[in-house]
Amino acid sequence: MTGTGRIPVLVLGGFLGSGKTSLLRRMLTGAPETAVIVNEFGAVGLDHEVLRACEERVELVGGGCACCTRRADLVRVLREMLDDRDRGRADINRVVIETSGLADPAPIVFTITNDPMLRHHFEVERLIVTVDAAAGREQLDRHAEVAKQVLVADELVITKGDLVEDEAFGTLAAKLAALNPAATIRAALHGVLDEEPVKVGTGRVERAHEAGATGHTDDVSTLILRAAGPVDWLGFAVWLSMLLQARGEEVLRVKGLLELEHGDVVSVNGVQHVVHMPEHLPRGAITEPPSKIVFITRGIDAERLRGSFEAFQRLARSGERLATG
Amino acid sequence: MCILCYALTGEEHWTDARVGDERAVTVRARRRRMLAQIMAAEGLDYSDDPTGITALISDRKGNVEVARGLGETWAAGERLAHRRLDPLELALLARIDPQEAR
Repeated sequence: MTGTGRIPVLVLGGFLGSGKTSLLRRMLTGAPETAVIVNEFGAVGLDHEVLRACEERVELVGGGCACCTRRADLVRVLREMLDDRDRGRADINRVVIETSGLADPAPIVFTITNDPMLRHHFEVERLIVTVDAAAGREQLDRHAEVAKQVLVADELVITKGDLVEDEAFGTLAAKLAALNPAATIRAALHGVLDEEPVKVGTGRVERAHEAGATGHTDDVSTLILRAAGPVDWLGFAVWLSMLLQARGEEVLRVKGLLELEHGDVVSVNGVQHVVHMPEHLPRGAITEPPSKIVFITRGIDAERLRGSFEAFQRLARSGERLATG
Repeated sequence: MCILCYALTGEEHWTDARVGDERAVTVRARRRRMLAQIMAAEGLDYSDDPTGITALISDRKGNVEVARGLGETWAAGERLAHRRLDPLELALLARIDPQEAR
């Protein structure tokens, strides 16, 4: 259970054959109270106590944008799990959703965050995406679905590292770090996850990823927004909600930490239109730089984004003077 | 539903989360003012109830929409303005940025 009393949901994605199931098997060792949702039973070959299959069945809701898609199949299965737990038929303290290799994780997050019942019982813990060390680079270039999964991940796991030379491993890690600097990168061999994250730019990884740099692919760019001082939360929240309403399909990922007045630190995490409830972190949780938000965008000008953020901060602060004085 | 005023509380939007130690009444007052300024820059009027839950957005022809939460507020504003309300639009920024107004 999380601090909010909700059941954590871990979403496990990755292209076909990238080692999702090996990782999942290892995760389930000694974790009988973890329920698993897979696309189909046969393909996985898992023998687990609480195992459900759901075929991807999507329903467009609202304006019909790609990320605001409700996974009706997932709603049904998660509600059944809740029912089983409440009737004492199963002990569930965590759920893992293994997606199909081509699935877009954004609708899963949307479904859990927006379903009027599920949102009170489940919360998305993190999105893990596996990337094959040998085939990953080519898959990233050839399949838009793989790139999308990498862009929205919280954690990227490079699998099958023993099949490639150090240089190739390093190049892939640097490419992943450039695409999604907000994600932690780990290595896994035969499903065993390394405790320490891969340090891009040192050791096994040859090509350095300059922290704070703007990474680019053909149409996707990464902007790291830093604020010189404390951020006005209201100004940020109004700005980001307006931005996501207008440009949700172009803002693929938002993730970072904000330092507010009086040293409060808040974590912000969003996938396209869907933003998780902000989380308070202990004061002093970040030291330098004070605030850092990573935006992964498609076709948005970095300077314009920064200028807009700053204008909304000034607008919010002008209201602060009036409200308090 | 609020048992005092019968207002539908709606779903909690992430922007409604209590963040920082600023008093709730001050946050609501600042938010109301900020949204009114943004909507005014788009030719719309904005007002909300004392709880900040239910908002009224109207155009200058008398069309009114009711919205609950910021998500609905922007969507209502776009329907009334007949266009996207884009915070990256330079003309909008020029109208709301206090630095530009000096």
